[in-house]
Amino acid sequence: MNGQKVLVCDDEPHILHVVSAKLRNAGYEVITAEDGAEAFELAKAHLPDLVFTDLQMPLLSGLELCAKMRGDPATNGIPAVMLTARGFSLGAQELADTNIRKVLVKPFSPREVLSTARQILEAALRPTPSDNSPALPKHDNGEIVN
Amino acid sequence: MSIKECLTTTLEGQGRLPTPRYDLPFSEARFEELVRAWRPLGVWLSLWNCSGQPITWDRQGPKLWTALWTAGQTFQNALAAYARASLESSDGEAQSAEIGEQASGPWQPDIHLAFAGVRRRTRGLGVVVAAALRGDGLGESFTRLCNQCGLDRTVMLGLARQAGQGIGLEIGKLAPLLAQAVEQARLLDDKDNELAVLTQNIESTYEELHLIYQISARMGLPQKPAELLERVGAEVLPVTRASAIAFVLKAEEMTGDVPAGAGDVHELSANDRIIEIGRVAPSPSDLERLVTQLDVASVDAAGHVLRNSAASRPELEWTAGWLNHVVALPLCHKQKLLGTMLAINCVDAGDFTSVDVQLLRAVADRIAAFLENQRLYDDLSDLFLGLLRTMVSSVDAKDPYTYGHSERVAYISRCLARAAGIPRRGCERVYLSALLHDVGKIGVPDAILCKPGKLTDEEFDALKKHPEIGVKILSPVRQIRDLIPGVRNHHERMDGRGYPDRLAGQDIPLLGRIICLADSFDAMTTNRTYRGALPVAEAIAEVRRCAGTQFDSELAEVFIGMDPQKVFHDARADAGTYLKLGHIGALDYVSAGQSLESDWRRGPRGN
Repeated sequence: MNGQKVLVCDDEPHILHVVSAKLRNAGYEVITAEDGAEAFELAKAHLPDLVFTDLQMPLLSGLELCAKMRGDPATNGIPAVMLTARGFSLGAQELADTNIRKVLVKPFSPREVLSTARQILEAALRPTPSDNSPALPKHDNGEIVN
Repeated sequence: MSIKECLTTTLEGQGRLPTPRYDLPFSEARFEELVRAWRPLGVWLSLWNCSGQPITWDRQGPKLWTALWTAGQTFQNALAAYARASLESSDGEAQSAEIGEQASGPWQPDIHLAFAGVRRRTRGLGVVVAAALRGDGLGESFTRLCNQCGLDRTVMLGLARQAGQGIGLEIGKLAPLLAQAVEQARLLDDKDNELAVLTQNIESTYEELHLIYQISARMGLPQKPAELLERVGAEVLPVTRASAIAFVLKAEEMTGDVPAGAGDVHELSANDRIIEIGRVAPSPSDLERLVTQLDVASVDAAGHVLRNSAASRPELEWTAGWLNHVVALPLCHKQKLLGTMLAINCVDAGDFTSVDVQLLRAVADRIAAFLENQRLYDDLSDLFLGLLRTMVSSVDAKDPYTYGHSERVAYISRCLARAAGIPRRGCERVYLSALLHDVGKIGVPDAILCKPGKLTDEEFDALKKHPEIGVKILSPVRQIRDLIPGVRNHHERMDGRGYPDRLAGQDIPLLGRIICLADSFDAMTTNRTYRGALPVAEAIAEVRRCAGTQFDSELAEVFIGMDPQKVFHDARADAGTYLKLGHIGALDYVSAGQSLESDWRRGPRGN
């Protein structure tokens, strides 16, 4: 494995376990956090290649976490995937103001979690010829995918 | 294979829940934690399995121990004997780890040993043996050990000083602490294993739930089962480990588009009954043979038939070349078998397991419920249509001259509606309304209906009552109220001189205007009691002549433009052939409360 790091953040331990086990078994290094504030500290300290975060969490919500990461020069390039409860949707503006690439609705498919992570992380490994920033897939344009 | 390898292999086995191995005391990582905690106390640990074989030991500990351990078998053999003795001495009923202290041994009093048994419930899994130097003045027994191991006593004394002493005398007091630490370590390992199993359980449950949500969203009624199954199969396939998914529906439980004359039993085409998604693609007849052979109807307790390594079974030899493993699940609703779902071959090297079956089961149950609902829906629409036809037949029975008239008008009206660009489901409403347009003639005396020659004014007035009689007959049925305008107003004229409401122009409901034209065309081109049939060309000339006065000119233009000669012939050949209205949702539209006009103007033309 290339040692890419994924930060997984959810206040529900079972979700945390399922997502991190799926990613860890696929060979990714996984760091976990149980609230948005902890996740932000870990993101700054470890600079993960991708963040999976729950939306509704104590201290700092997933959306606030993504906004804070976007606002911090150290973490503003880190892509994120949001996990939300069924029936909850994010506005186009909220997506545009963050690095949220995809929204997965609970109960999500762990297979889809992994394929989403692979898609984003593999794209990040391909440098664009013009600059050295990672070639990330095009923004989903507010589309809620489940 | 190391402990770690054992665990990861079993935990990551494809497609099955992990079965952690409890025959190893605990993981290497856990033992490492113990070793690191006890090393500063001058205690050196080794781990033994329940047969008294060494598994691992503190390799990074003081050189003294490494030297003893690696210098021939003497030290190891002595420890092994001690480990075995401790295993034998341990009481099988004991609930907690046991600890013992070597009271007398070959190296007493200089080296002292203690053990802590590792048990899981009542099973001994192994033993942790602790060794420590006793006291600071190493004496005769230590010298004897060095000699036995062929090690230089002076060097070893140096290593012993580096190893540190001091608490060796207290190992007996530390023994309960070691027992507790070992027990805790094993419990932690158990919890880790449990967590891994639960996590994987939740993972497969999530996968299942997600899939069920996805396919449930697709199961709206009504739709053709074959189309639904193809979509659902495509979603199920990547979630399962199957190379292909197939559905074989039972012919007698399914209904397709049926020609009216075909009778009750109609063989559904194989395309509508056998659906395959995936990479194996055996022929439909092979699938059918397989399904017959596996005979899911006979399964009771298990609820499915699982045949891994099919090629090795004599009865399945004929499948050689395409079948490796297969799971067959009955699509069953309230004890009625509607068909069979098959998962064929695994994408990886493994075979099908209970996890796969559980997922497929959930899908099969949903599909069975859908199939049964769709069947009931079709039944309902068949019943509905059958009753309408019964009414129409009773009109036709009164007047042999008009026999088939209602069916033909219905057919022609539908052609006209389609040509005019009314969306498909609206066309079915036109069809049904036209089918019923003359139902009121039941209330007209036979003497008038069948009278040869011209009617008197009174007789004609009586005949003109049939639209209103028809409305009276039909209006009690809530579901077909939207068909009534066609029945009531199919004798209105654009110039307002028709009956019964003397409506004019666009005030006449579209249904009435369409049926009026189709009705007149069929009447003109059919033998009647009072005149012979007109040739089609003359009938068309009549339609053209009356456009704007009797007929809606826009519709007349559409009618003339759509090859009336062909319509005339097809009406005679095909009238009575109808679609399964259940599949296309026409029945929903019949009572949708939506006006045909708005649908016409808004809907995509030619749909």
